[in-house]
Amino acid sequence: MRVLLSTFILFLSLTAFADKNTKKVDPSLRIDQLVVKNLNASELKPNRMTSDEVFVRRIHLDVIGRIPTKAETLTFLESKDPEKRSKLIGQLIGSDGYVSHQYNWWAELLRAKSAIAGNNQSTPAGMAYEQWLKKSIRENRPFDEVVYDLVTASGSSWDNPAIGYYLRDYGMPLDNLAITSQVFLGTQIVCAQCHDHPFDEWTQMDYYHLAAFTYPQVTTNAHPLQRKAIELLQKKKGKVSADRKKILGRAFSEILFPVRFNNVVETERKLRLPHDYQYDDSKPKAVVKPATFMGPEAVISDTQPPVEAFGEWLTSPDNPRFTKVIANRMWKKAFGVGLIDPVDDLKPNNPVANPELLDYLTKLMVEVDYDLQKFQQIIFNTKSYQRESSLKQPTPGVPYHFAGPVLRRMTAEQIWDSLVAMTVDNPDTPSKGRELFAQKKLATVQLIAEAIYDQTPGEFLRNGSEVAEIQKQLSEEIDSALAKVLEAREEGDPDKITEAQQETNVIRQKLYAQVAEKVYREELAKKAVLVASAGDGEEIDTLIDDDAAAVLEEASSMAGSMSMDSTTKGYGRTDGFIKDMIEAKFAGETAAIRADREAQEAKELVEWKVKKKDRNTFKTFNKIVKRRMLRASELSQPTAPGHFLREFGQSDRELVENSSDGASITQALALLNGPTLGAATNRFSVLFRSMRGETFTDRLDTIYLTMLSRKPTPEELRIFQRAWKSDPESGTVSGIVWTMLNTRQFLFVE
Amino acid sequence: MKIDSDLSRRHFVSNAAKTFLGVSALSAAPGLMQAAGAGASPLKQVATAKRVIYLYMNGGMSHLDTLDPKSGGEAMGPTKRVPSKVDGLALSDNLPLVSRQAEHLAIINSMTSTQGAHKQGNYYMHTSYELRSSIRHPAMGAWLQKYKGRSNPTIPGNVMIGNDSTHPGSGFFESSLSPLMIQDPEGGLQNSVMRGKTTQEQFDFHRNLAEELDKPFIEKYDQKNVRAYTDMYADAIKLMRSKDLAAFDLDGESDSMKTRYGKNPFGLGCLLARRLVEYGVNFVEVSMGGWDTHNSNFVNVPEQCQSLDAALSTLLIDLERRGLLDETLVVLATEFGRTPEINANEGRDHHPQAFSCLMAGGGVKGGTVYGKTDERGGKVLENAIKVPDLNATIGYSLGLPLDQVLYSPSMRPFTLADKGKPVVELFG
Repeated sequence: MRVLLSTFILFLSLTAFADKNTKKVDPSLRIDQLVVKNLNASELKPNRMTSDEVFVRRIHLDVIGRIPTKAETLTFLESKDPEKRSKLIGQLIGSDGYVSHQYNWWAELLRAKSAIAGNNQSTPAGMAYEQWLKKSIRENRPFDEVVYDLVTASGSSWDNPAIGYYLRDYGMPLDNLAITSQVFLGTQIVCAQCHDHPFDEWTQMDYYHLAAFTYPQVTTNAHPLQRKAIELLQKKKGKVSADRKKILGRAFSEILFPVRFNNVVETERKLRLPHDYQYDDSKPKAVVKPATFMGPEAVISDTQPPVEAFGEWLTSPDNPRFTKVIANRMWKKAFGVGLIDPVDDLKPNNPVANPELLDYLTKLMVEVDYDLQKFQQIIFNTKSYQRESSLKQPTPGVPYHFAGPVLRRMTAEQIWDSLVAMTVDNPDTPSKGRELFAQKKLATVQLIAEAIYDQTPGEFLRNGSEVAEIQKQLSEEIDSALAKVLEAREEGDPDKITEAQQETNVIRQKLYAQVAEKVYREELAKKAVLVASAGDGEEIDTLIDDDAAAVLEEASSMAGSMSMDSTTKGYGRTDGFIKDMIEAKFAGETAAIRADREAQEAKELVEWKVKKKDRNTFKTFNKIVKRRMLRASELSQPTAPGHFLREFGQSDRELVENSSDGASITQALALLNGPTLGAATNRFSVLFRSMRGETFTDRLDTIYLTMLSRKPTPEELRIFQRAWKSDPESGTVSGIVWTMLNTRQFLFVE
Repeated sequence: MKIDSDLSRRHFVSNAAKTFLGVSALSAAPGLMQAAGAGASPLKQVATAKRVIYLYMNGGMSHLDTLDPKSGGEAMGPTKRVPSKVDGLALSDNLPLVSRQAEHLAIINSMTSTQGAHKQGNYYMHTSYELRSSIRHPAMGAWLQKYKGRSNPTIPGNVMIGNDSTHPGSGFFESSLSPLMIQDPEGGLQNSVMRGKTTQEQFDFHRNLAEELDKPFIEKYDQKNVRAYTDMYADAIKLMRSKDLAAFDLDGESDSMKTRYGKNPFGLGCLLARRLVEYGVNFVEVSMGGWDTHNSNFVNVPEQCQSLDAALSTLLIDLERRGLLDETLVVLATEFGRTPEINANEGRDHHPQAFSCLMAGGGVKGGTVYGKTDERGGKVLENAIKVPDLNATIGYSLGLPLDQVLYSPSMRPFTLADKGKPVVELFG
């Protein structure tokens, strides 16, 4: 409801804004006036305006996160339209490339990880969170609304993927709150977790008051059924022995295992002060009431969970820091340095380079109703942004007055995504494969949850007892398998040892399969019957559609066949009929993606005029290169250590904005000798296809236009000629691409 | 005037701190410099080791089945305690080769941790601080480089062999102090040789071309970040052509040496570690996974130990033969031990209350058993060593200033082993 309502309000306010705009000075112009005024006050002059060549490269990198292609560059350079810059900006903002690049910004801010709680099992929730963020960006949902959804999130990942915000700090609610304050309020209160802040005004009590709002949001793998089942047993049998409780507890955990890391529960949990609280205003371990520490107090009502009051207080235009922080961050995103920097530590005595401008931007953010596309569009349309970069790096701690943007090294993602753009067509298209993979993963846990969460305590208890029985039987089997291993070890026969070890693995797989049979299959079958017998218009909340139901029925008719034969290796908890059901459910989408890919390849085979002798290269290009050269936003979040992106400083997503643009030897080695270049210089890369049949000079033009968005200068042409004359043997076309890749001009955004 | 060596070291550190943090950062926090961690350790210490080889057993190594076996009892399962030639020092029957090196070993059987989950335990072991989302603390290799720099300027001073994406690395220090990650010891340093058919002439030709073409840009933007990239290329090419690149190349080792270390990732990792310290790398970590033996403990631990036993014993012999053992501290660490209770899957579960670590070389008194657990290995009975204490002990042997406070960029004060106290009794 909130979404609909605010979209409506946004629409109204945008129209209002446009109306006012006709009377008021254009915001881009206003920004320019304030920048120049501030420069003049310090007796500084603005830089010259950029050439079209510098502009076209910079705006592509800043808005869509990659260098423009040769075609994009030429279209822009050759256009005589006086409005061409603002038209290009309008075209880029909101595009697929924008979503990809803006996602990287969010992911770094929120420390988004595919394995969101650090554990591989948390991947379904992590990927759902990623897709949710991308969708919010694509729909251009207002920033304040997205943040509200994040900080108030609760539920299961399939119903509300925004719970990733809390899952990311699984079991660490106090740290999560400190990060909320750092990221959205630009306020570092983490010191106050243990003692009053030594360099700022915040007390430990402030911290606990604030944390009391979000503390009831509990990340948990437990389910109320566990408790209810035991209570039921106690009611029936009187006292239940500790041993029995332990045995049942293990069985319950086994049943719930596949759905771990998917739930945030809104509870009434009370936050208490630490046991060593040392100040006079309260006693250690006292319960703390929620209260805010800046701006107008949050309005807490009895009818509303405290976290909603917190969300409203946090994202309100009246909050003294929320709007200022996002306005400043957007400014930094365009100019390379904030009006206040660091952007996440707004102490009262930190210098503001241009206070009037910051105030104006803050008001502007409210006026555009936190529409980040509109806000960025205004900034990119300023003369201030379109000026040449400054020749000197700003000194930390000394205010920078924005004679132009600062010279920046491309981010890891920009470098990688630029290489992608040199290699494949349509470099901005999001990966349908990744989206489907995420959907399947999430549907798998949702399906299993469906089989568990709707059970009555009685059913859950019965299932638990059966699983406990299976576990007991298997432990006897393990004993005998183990005896065999020990025997084999005594004999010292390696083959026999391996064989005996495999046997023990098979026993675990048997457990998974039997739990799936006994619990998940039977419960899902009950649900399928409900669906089949449902009357018209009666809605049953389930993932089971006809295709999935058919698979389930087949599995049911073969009940017992799931017990593993010893050849099945690596069988996991969600394999077998569950996997089959999911595949059946998404069969259409899976087939469509494959058909798309095959049609694409067939088309390319003709259009690229692939000769017979090049078929293998073509196959490799399609199989390996295309699938690995995906945008950074479409790869694992973050990529593994040692990946090109990590070498160039992609954030490990452990700390907020933890990326780095520092130089390291391994970066140079990656550029000089790494396999990445092979993709861009493959004969089927965009770049190399575009050079077919071209003369040497044309090829130089193409390489320059592609990589630096300009043609070579006469002096550069002379350098090439001289080099070739002196050593005619050594130069190659891929060598020139390699050369350009290893220049600083390529790595930096002018 | 004669300057006390201790004073000059402190002077160095304070200068270093100024360089790292900026003078204003220090003056902003008067008094705090000494506050945290003050008196945590005797400041005066002479380094007994120059470098560390840190072997990390990922997943929680069962202390009962390795370094702290008991003579019989239900907790032991089929594992046996075997006395060594040193009185009172006995290891399990899973480590026969390491046991022969008893005169070099200091076994610590009184480790205790507060962290019972892998990620948290691993982080605590590496940093002495609890895992927090709001900060990353540096691991020991980064602290060592921060205080002492590198011995060989051509190659990185901090190397991690194995696959651990959650390694805290350089924490809040600059990223250049992060360990260079080597996933596969046989693969050596990634991208350090020229691609495919590229000849030296072609490489130089295009490299020179790049420098010439880039001249106007470099002259126009005479900035630190641009210069850093110019230096970076110079360093990388120096490394590619340096004899020291051989440090990463196991082809320089004989087949019989590889066999002795064990032709598995951990064995070869230890061999690579030995090569690297010879070339002046001062901190090398080698990690070995597979210790999380909730299932089939008595099958899996003996198997893990086959690799560990061969690699560790050979490493000690090899270092000694090369005259490196005296100045190289070898540490065997893990996040926690495992329960005396044997669970229904013939496994052992997490047990942070009591576990074992090992030290050898680097000035450590060999043939030592420090600390003691009860008859089941469940509780520490004497000389408990907390995780930060172990790190303080490593820092102590390296002569690092344990109570020197450095500030994170968010101005929070940290020391290299938090409030840990070194176990000075371990040193001869």
